[in-house]
Amino acid sequence: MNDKKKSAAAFNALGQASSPQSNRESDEFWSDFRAHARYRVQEESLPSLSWFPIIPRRVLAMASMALLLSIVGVVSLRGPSMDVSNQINSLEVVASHGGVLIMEDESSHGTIVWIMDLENNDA
Amino acid sequence: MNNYRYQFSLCVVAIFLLAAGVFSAQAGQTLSVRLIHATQQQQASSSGLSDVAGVLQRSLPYNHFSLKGSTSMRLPAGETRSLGGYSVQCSGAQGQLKIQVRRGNKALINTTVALRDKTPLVLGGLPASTGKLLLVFVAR
Repeated sequence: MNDKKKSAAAFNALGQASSPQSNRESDEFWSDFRAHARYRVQEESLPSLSWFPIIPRRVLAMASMALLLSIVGVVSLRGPSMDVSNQINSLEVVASHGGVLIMEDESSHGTIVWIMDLENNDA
Repeated sequence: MNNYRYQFSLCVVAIFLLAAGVFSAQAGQTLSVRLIHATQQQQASSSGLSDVAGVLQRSLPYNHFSLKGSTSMRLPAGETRSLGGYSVQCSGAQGQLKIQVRRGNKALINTTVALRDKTPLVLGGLPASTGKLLLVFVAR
């Protein structure tokens, strides 16, 4: 019975003596822990975009605009070849002939220029 | 500020090269020119002309097509080639291609065309002992 009283008194004394210090250590520990945890979460959430903050938004916006202009420019330079079928801009049959027939194949969009009764040089 | 300009310039150059690369890969790089003899025979044939046989058979009153000669050149063109006694001169880019067909010293046909990729252009009606001769141009 005496032993129990002694141990309880010792426990209380120890608790009263160490409680403020252990609380401070605990607070420091948890604040450090949270700080590290926050730091690690940030690192892990953007592993592949580490380059991203290097390029400012203004540069990205201008680059996007440049991309659009480039595509428009290249497409407009290509011009007629983007059309569905060939285009005949000019045609001159120098040799004597009976007529010219221009046809377009519907399925392949191929163009046929057929010159009728073209003069035979060899004749 | 200079660093921003440098990065921006790099972005612009890279994007333009990418876009140009994508589009130029789709554009025709080569012009093929073939001389074909078209006749009407009992048996239809177009061996070796699978890419243009359809358009020829559907559009022309002939059923037998045989390849008499072929050549190819890079685009933009600037060359003259001989095919079966005809001289074919091509110059310019695919979108503004000038073609002149000559027989000996005499010009027969002058034309300027814009060719679509893999879409044939046929210049036909050239005289032959039987049937007709055709020149088929395809940009690839």
